[in-house]
Amino acid sequence: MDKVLEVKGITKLYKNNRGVKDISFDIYKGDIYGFLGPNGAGKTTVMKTIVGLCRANQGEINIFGYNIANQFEQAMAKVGCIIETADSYEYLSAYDNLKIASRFYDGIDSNRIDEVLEIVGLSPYKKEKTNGFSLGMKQRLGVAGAILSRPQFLILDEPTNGLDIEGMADIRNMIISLAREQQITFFVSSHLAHEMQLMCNRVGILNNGLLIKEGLITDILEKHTSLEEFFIEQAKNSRGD
Amino acid sequence: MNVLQANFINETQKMFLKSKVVACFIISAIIPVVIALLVALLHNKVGVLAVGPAGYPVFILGLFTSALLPLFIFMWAADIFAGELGEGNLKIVLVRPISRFKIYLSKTMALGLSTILLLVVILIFTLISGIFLGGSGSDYLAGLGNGLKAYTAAIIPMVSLAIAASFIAQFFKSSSGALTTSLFVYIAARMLPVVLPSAAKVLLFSYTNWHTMWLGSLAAPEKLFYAFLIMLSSCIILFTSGFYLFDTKEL
Repeated sequence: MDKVLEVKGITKLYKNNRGVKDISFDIYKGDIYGFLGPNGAGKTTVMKTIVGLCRANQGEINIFGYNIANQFEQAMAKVGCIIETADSYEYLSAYDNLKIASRFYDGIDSNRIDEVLEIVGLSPYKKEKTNGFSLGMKQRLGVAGAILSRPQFLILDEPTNGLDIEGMADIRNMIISLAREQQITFFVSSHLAHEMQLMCNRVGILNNGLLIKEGLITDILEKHTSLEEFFIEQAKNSRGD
Repeated sequence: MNVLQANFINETQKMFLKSKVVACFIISAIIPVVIALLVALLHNKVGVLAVGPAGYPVFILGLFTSALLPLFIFMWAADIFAGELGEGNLKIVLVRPISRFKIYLSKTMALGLSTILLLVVILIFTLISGIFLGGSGSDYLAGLGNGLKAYTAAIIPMVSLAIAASFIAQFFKSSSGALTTSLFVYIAARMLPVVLPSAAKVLLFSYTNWHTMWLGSLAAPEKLFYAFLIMLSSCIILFTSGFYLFDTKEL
């Protein structure tokens, strides 16, 4: 299988000595890989390190075979991402925000911008400045910005965070349909086990800065009633309870 | 499109869509007109012409390069670096397929371009408002000639100021902190030669009136060259240091 992301022995420690230690995992083409862990487990730190927002103290990261430390532009060329929050320039319209993003890629014209606005349901608001957008609308615009370049790999950090039930279902369905219809590989983080179970085919459990377990959802559900039960069991094991 | 070019266009577009930047351009267009009207009024009432059309463009440039232009440049640099970092918007470009060096370079280029465009606007409105000052056709032509020479020369110290402001902005996470510090450093650097005259020769901020060296009886070539080298070396050091700080920034 084609390796999309290769994370080898990543350690990233902050000044307070918190962070992540010796994280290694691979994501393959077609995966919807979920990173499950409580708040503060280090999910965002790993994702930030992968996309170059943070520098790892040690370890190596390759995306589509390109090392992010010295081939950043090639590594990120087919990647879309939302890290922490879906940010936008609030003094620009939704359309202008996407127009600015489009200039980094070849072949992204105004038709594609309209197309992604349609996919995320923001077409009626495309000329509005984003400072008036709700959290859900900002999240949708973030998704639009992430899929604009027709990426082959999407990294979404807590994409349903702060959304209501309907908004969460919309984002989840969008991820599943993009994976099926456009063969996009996903790396998604969440602290909600139920979300991960509904969306992902593989999952990695992160706790206290360590990747304590990885596995296929189907395998996990053969032995456990839910991913939540599996997570609690793994978290207890890692603490030695 | 080349990603450096793409982000240069993006940064320029973003700057000119900010009301703060537009306000700077409007103020810079109004000031020469207002001052020309006041000078003309004074001339009519008292009979003294403080400045004629031949010297007006350089007179106005002196006012701008010593106070207003540095203020505007510091404000813009604070916004595009520290401001974006504080608002969380810097992340938007950092996760695109463009290296941090190209991001830093394109932001500085956009800042430089805006500075040059502002000088052009000030020159145009200074020449237009020269009409209120009377004078002959040859006075206007002299004003145009001096103006073109001085405003072109002023590009170098003003762009140097933009590079210095970009460097200072790297230490802050809010535009207000970066702006206040830039102004403080600028004022301190301008005051220092009062107590330590020899400092004026090596301080970048002492050369904001470099354009005056190009007017009248031209300064000795070695003096011009020395000043140019001080600005160039300061720019290289400040750009490199600024990029280092930007490159090591963690979000």
